[in-house]
Amino acid sequence: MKLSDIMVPDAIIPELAATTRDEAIKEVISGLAAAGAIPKSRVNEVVEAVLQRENQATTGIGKGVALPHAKLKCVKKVVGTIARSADGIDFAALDSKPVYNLIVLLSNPNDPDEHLRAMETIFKHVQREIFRKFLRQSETKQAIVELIDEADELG
Amino acid sequence: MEIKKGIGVSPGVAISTAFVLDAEEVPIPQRHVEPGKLKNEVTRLRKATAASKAEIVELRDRMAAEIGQETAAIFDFHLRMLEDKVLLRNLGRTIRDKHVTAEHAVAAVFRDYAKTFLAMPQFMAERVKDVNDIQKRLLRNLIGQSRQVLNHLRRDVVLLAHDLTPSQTANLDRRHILGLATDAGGRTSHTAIVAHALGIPAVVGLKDVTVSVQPNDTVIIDGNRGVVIVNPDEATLDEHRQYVQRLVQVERQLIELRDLPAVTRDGHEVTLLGNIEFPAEAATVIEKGGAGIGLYRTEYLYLSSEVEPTEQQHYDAYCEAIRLADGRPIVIRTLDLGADKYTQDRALVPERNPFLGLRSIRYCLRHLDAFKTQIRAVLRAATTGPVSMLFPLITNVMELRQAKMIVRDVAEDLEEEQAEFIPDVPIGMMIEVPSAALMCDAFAKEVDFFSIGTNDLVQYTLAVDRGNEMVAPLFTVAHPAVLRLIKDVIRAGQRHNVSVSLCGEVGADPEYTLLLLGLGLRIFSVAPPAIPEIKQIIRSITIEQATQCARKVMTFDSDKEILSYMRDRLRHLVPDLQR
Amino acid sequence: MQLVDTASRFDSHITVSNGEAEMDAKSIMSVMQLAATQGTVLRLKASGEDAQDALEAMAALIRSGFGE
Repeated sequence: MKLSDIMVPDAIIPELAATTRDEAIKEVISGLAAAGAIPKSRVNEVVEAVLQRENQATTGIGKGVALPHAKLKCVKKVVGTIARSADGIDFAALDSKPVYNLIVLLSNPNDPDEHLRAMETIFKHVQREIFRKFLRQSETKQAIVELIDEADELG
Repeated sequence: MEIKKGIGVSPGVAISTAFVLDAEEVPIPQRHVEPGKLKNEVTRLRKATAASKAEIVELRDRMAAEIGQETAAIFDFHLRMLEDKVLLRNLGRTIRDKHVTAEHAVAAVFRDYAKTFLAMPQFMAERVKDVNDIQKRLLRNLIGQSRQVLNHLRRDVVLLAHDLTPSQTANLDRRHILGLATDAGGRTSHTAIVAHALGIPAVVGLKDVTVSVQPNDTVIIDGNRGVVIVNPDEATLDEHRQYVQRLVQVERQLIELRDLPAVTRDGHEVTLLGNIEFPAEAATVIEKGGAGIGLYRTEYLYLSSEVEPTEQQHYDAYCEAIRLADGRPIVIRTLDLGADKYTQDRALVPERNPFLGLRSIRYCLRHLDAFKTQIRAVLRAATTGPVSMLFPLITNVMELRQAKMIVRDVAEDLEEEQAEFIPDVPIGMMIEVPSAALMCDAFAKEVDFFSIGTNDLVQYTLAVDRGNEMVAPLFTVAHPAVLRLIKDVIRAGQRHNVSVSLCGEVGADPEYTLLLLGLGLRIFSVAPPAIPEIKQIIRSITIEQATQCARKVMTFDSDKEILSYMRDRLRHLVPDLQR
Repeated sequence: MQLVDTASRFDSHITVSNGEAEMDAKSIMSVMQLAATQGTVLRLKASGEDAQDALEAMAALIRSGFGE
């Protein structure tokens, strides 16, 4: 599975307006709804699910990256997107440092395989320092899309 | 009589008949067959032919469906060959006239055909490939029959092979194998691990023992002295039989130690745990006086079956181990395969350097369904006893965090399913690569415990392949660099209140006990047979002596000096230790 | 292979010869050794109840160019 199979380009937010964790997640989910990736009527439900997971244990795995995710029935197929905060957001991350990039993943509970494939792909790229560095530096939607394509090409 | 010297990696002495595995994992069939057994060979051939034909029919039908009739036609050709009465008559006649095994008949007859075809004009010569194909298939079916033999031995044997891989040993008939000897391998090679687990003697690094021995030869395997004797004369046999008697006596004395605590003479408590590969061994650990399971290697669940184990299979195995450990703590390590046939067979492109490739935790993070299955089983089994989870080969903090994230996701899933499980099982990591050892302070903040895997730590730190007998002498824990890393990890553990155990084979080496205690180690996890001996040493020394030993050792700069000093101290402080 | 298939349909013992060696026509390993190419003269022999039918079928096959 490639990143471009998961990421919804129209929902990419190169400059988050939100300054807190909860607001950021709301902003991203709304963006996904606006792009048609999830039903607009379910935005609140999705936000709540993602926040619930986030409250159980932070998805801020350090090095400025957080991977908020949730499984919901209203999600037809696995979708995700990337958002960036230039100033950083407090996610109570494991390294106690701010989060500069959110990589959000939503999937359907009836398709655990798809969810896992998506996580594997995201993990693989997030592990690369150079990917994280470029991601943090990508200030436009186009730049992020290009980075995704490059990463997919790299394999 | 031939005496071969190698490296003794598991103590004890075994005297038995040889069972030889050749490099292709195939039992070397004897060339000659007694007249009475010829009928059996003909039957074997018939069965193998039938099996081969069935395989080809299946292949042909599948090809026809998937690709087309024309490509499938080649299999018709193969089928005709196996139906060829002249060929079959030829094979049968060879078996009966020359008194050879079916394998040898096949090899001989097909070789002749191949020769004939090769000497013919071009377009026929291509058919040689097909002829070889059929030969391989027949042989595979013939030999496949004998592969069963390894699982169901009918008498006691000692097993000799070029090398033993985890997949081979996963299915050994453990009741009848009394000893192991391999051409290849070093001190921590897989053979050593299995021999320890089975409590049988093993000698590795013999270089060419498999060519010096015929199936059914009498062989002595002396794991104490690192010697293998092929076809010993009467005097040598006698001498070894007496030696075995003495060893049995020593063994009895060590059993008495079982219920005594592992406490130094000056009252410091040491935790002595056992390493296991199979659930049943948990009972052995307790029997030998261990205080729990410091390492449950789960690889065998994957290696002992053709398909990936199901969650239920994981769960059943873990619960069984927990039950046999009878309330004592057990550390379950997640899949630590790679650089091994398991992942290499499954890889689309075999890795060039598997030891540095997609193994263990890296493999798991790319195969999340398998990883999650295992974690689910661990969290669920944790309701039946005190369980901790251990991640192997962690080299950077990111992968540790990702792994922990997966554990959380699994907990979330189980919660939704309303399954019974323990969500906050203690999580630890192996320290077995230099990066982890050097960054142990950073890692200490993220785990509940460390387990030092000296086998791999030495390998990666000294750049020495632990399975390569040609560099075996270079493989040693006594290298100052390795000792420094071990010391640093133990210190970091103390600083951050993270418990540190050592689960590598060196923990079972009596010559290192003093040093390891002196470096601050208080938790040892060793192969069960070694527990009594290590306990005896612990009970015979004081921490003061251990600390002094360690201090002195850290001033040396060669492993030879260090080893010699440790040997000396051991002899001095524990004179009645039987070696 | 068609040669062998055709020959195998019949009960008779059938041989095919290229002038140098005579081989059992039902044995593919044997027939392959004849190295029969276009233009080779093959002699067929059959003995048994359906010998006549066998020879006719084999001859027809060879004349038709083995369907190639």
